[in-house]
Amino acid sequence: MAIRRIVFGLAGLLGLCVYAYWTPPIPKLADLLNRPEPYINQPIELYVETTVERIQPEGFWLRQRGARMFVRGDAGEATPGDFVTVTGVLLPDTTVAMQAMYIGKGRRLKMAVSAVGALLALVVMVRSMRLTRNGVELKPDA
Amino acid sequence: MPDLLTHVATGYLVRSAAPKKLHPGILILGVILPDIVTRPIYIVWPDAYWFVKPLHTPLGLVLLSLAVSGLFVPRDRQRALINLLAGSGLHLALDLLQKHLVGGYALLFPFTWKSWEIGLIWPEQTLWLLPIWMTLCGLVFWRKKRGQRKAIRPESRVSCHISESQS
Repeated sequence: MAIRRIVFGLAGLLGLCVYAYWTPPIPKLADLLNRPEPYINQPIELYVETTVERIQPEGFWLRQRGARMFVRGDAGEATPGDFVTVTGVLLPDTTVAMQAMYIGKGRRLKMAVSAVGALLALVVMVRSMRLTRNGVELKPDA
Repeated sequence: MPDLLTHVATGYLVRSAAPKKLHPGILILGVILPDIVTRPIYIVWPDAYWFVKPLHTPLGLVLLSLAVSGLFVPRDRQRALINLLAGSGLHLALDLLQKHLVGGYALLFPFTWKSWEIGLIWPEQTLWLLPIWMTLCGLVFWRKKRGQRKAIRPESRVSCHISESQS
């Protein structure tokens, strides 16, 4: 194994990941709820693993991990549990005036299909490579 | 991003059409690499979304491919790196065909978060195209197997003649 190559690659990646974590292009839902001042009346985007929690006549509740936010607007064909992307303006009462929404119908089916794809890839990899004491070796007949 | 089965299918089709220099196992690993190192993590921990995001960018994938290729024996290291880069590149190219309401692909990260995409299909619509990819893969697989059978047949006749003459 090439330890220097692995360390160089992983160190570079760690640097990129830390930089990305501290300079995200959009705020998290929890940040909008806990420190909303800089974002009031500003356009916002909500799309990281965001689901519809509950639908009401005047709008719907969004959930992102433990955080919840109310969106004012038509939920359209969205149902509770759907993954959504929402754009809008953050209002002073920390609700969102919705401008546009995309509903990721079929997201769970896509996850299931992806799991099948990952399994298939694993089978191909196991069949065409072997683990030796010096590292991974590509089988010549592959 | 399209589902992984679509990515694996495109990897298989490209491998079938491309020169033998492309290795099936490591090319497929490259094809699924950008998703398997990001999606399971941020599905379980959404807070880690921005932390793992660089692993789905060109520079991040070059570094990741470099690190993974280091696990291979010296003889196969360079080939592994080329295949991983080819597979990851194919993955990104396929992802770029999609459109999103917001948030495309930050191709120039860490220099800018500005994102790009060609915008032909919505992410979930790739599922509708899956039967087409699967049929194509089935046809290629069937043609390959038929070609192998044809190639084996004349040799088996020769070996029969030899064994008959020896007896």
